Amino acid sequence: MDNLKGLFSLYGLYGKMDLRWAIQDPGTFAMVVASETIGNIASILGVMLLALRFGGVGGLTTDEILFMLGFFQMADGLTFMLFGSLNVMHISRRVGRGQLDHMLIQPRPLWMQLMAEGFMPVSGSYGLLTGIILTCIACARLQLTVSIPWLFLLLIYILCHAALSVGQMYLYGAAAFYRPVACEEISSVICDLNTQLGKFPLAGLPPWMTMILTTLLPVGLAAYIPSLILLHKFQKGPILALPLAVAAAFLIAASYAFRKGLHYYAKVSCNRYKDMGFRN
Amino acid sequence: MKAYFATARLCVLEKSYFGLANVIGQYLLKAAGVGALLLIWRSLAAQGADLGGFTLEQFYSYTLLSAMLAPLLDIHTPATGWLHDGTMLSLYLRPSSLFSQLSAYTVAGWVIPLLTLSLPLGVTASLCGVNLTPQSPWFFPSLLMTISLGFAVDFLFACLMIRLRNLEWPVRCLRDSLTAIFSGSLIPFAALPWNIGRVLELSPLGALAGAPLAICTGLGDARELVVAQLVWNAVLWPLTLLCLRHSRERMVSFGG
Repeated sequence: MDNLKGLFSLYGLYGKMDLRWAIQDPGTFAMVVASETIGNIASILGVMLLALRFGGVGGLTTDEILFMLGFFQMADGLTFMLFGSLNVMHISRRVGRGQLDHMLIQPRPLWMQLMAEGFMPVSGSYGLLTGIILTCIACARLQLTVSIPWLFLLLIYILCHAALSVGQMYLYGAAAFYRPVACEEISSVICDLNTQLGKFPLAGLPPWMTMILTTLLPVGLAAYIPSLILLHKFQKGPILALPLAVAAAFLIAASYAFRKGLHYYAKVSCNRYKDMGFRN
Repeated sequence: MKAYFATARLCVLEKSYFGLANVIGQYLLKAAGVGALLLIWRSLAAQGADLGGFTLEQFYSYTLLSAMLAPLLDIHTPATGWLHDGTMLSLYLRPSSLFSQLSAYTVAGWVIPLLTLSLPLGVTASLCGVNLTPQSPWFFPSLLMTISLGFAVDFLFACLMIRLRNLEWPVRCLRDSLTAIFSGSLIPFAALPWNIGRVLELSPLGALAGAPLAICTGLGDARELVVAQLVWNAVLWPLTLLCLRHSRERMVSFGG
């Protein structure tokens, strides 16, 4: 109970800090939010324009593509809002740069810091908001019946997306404990891979590739498969539970790899900072 | 020239700084991006979509050439990164001009990706029967003008970053998103709806990647595109030099 209270007090603290930044430096805040919003929209524009030009892509209609892109933005936006700040998501940077030491001397458990430090409800909410707007437009155009169970399913799949993203970045990012320089950017590579491929409809692939892209490299679970389920293209079967199962597997594997890496880090540490303030 | 080659050599060595894991990761990313687009072209052809009079092979060639020539089509000098991490200061202490150091680093930075990614990709694509032969000799002057324009655009973004108080991340985010769509490096202008491709191909960003790729694959009018590139080079280079001169005094560099 104390842990939960501590976690929420940290959420409050980081939320307040984010809000204060927006109020104290509105110019910079506006520039950052504007550029990232443009970046977000541009990142989905390619697939959307193709869908508009050809009346759909990969077996999905234009409106269904819009729904898939909206779902992706919403889920990715929520993940970014919860874990995007201070390289909490891109954990290999923190580990590889030797910045984990700063966290180990704080009077809070490491897991609690990692859960709360990345929270930015004000400056990091643009992706989530863009996603909500796009999904609402798509739902209206598709005349989808939005019920409580459907919304619950939507929430579950959004959380699965967050768990998959974070799980993969921590699982592969744990390599930075052993090879700090070589693996400093490994979480970013995984993040970029998910962002780049997660927005594409993966229809027409050979079954073995579909299997890989929905399990080992689960970019198909980022938006494509959940969207098909939410659009009622899959009504029942084990595929409904696939995002949940794969997300849980990645979280468990990430937790194990990260703990193991942390034990190694406790013995060798990592010191890469120069006197001038930057890293070698 | 000796100083130029010494700087270039340093850069080639520096490319392995982040190690094999990073290099493999970057290649995996590129391969995944190319694979996804090829898959989309294939699915469009399979669903019987009207490709605007162009063939599926032209779209394949466009996507593969875009990946092969990526470092040349969207020039990234280290200027913005060096302003952010403080390296820019040390450039002024070296016996070589800022421009020559930045261009040496950039050009040398193409060596490894061209040798280890572009060459194998080109060979594999050719073996698979994809035609990568330029459809017009204008491709070569067009590519040169793209490189020249790319440097000008990159320096303009560096000036923008100086004006925005070294906010590297937003500038990079803005630049990457704008160039991905409006330069034609991702999707051929011929595949865009409502004829917006016609407007974009004559824009300064469209004159970057879109022009040589469209000329090479026969998706655009070579003469018109080359003239647009000439005009944008003539307009943007004086503007870049002017902006750089004004930005010099505003430059703030620090590490962290």
